[in-house]
Amino acid sequence: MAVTKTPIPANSFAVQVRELSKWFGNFQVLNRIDLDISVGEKVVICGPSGSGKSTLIRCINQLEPFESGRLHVHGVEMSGARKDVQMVKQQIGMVFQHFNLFPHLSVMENCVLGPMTVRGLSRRQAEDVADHYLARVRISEQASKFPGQLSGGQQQRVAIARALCMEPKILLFDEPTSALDPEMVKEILDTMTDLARDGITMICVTHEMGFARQVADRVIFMDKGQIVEVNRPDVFFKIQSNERTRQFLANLVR
Amino acid sequence: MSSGTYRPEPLLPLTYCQSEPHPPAPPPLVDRGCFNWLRRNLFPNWRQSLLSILIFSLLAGTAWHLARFLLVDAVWWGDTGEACRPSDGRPVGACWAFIADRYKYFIYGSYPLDQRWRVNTFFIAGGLGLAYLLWPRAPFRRLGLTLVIVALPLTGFIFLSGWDAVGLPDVPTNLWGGLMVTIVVAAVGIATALPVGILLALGRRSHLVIVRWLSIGLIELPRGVPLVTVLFMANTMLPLFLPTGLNPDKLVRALVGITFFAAAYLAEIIRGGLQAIPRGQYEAASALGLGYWKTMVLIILPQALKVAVPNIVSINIGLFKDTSLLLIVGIFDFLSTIETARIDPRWAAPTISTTGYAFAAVVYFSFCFGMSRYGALIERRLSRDHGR
Repeated sequence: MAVTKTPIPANSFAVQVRELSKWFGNFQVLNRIDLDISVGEKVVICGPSGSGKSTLIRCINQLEPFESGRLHVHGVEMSGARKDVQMVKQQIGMVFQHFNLFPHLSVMENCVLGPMTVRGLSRRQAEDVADHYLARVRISEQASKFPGQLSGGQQQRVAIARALCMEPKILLFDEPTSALDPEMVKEILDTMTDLARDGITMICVTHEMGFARQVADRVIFMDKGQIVEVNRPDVFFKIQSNERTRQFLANLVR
Repeated sequence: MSSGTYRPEPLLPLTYCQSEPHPPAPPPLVDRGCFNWLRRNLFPNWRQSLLSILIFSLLAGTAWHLARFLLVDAVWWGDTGEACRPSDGRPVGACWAFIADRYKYFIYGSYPLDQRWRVNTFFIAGGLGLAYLLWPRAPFRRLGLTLVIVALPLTGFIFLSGWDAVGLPDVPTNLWGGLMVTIVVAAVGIATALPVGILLALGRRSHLVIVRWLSIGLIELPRGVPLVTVLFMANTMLPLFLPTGLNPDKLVRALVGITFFAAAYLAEIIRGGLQAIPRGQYEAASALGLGYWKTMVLIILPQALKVAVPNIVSINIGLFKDTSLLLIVGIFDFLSTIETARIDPRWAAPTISTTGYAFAAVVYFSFCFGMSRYGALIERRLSRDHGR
């Protein structure tokens, strides 16, 4: 399904960022970010807290406005015509650190809400889609429960299913395992690894270096609002050309 | 200042490996007997026991006095005040004969006799509507809710005031009175104030400056003045703002005043509920591609209103009681009909006023307590539905 009026060539970019800068008051949180992410690529963004990695991916789906620079998603300028932007936004799914499920809706309602109201599916169709993705994250049996009745790991899997129900082309993960008990981290990482086998573009902010090593096509290291180092994971974890990256990795337990 | 430090005896081994898990045990027995409850809660020691006895005797004394006035010495039958006058020296309590004689006036006011079936129909429809609201698994709940809460009061108002086109003769609102006015005003007030309050609450949080300022004005102005002032304003000034020739009915004017007054308070309560919703909910809705109104209607308001239910019920109870202020703009609500009837010379007797007020208290209390219980029911139902 093409997003823009002209179909996207197979080799084109999912996300293109040019000279993107953003300030919170006087504090510059992103400083001239340049980044290209290909369609279907799995990218892990890591870096110390406050380095701007979450802000960067929140800019990609317009949760945060940015002051200067350009951002294209699937070839569409994200500060352009509202209708095009809305169309592209539908193609970007997001998984949050704190799940952000809708507590007043059951798991199934959480999953069918977007498809029904935004994609315009009938309830029947939306429930079929939801069934499919809830099975995909292995949580079908909880469909009639409410988020408050589930464990953190289960909630995050529902959140992933909810994002998938919009059948996005790009999935953004904002520290999806940081709020979870250690026992539950693995079930989420396994789910994400499983998803990575599809053609979907994945951009993950995470500190799970094992996941980065195993799944990522490229690892991006950010510090102080800038991209410091980008490399293939096998190279990234072996030789770091930047001193700051070396320090960061040395301080990680894993 | 003990010399030795505490040491558990005997000391636990420093290393340990469980060979077999403990079987689950039943919870310790708590004596739930009535006698034990009394002893634990009312008579745990002599000081508490003394206090309990003192309070109970005070309560019992009050209850006895009330019962004697309201029931034992009460006069149940009679056609005039004669029946309730203490002629033979016996004590005379509440004069229920007076209420029995005038109850139609208390309910309908001066509504024409041959048109009172309309009021009865409205009451029956209202009763059915309430029963429907109390039925948790009713079919078409969402549609029914809107019909009962919004459509019923509004169509009821038109039905009662008359519509020549459908053959219902006009009944001018100055003939309305009694409990019927109180109920209609409260129901229409609640039905209109809640949506207005929601809009004002959203408006006050809007990024559009004009909308925000307007909402702040419409919230702070009625909140800053007494309801009496708002009613006077609505009564005398509303016609000045409207084009000439358009002179709304007195009751409608009062309703507009009451609605804005209640809406202002409701708006602040709902705004409080809105502030309780974490930012993540907005972000999740935005990430799904929901726009402002869909986010509000489907995600934010259901949660915010749930938080606000106890306070919304409070405001609605207040609104019900505030209808008694309608007297000052010349509308005969329930309390005013009692005021009028108690000075009727035909029913001149010493306890008439007290009886009238006691009756008013009972009626107001049953409605308000009913609303309070209904609010509690909604809270329970919401928390159960949300799986908490």
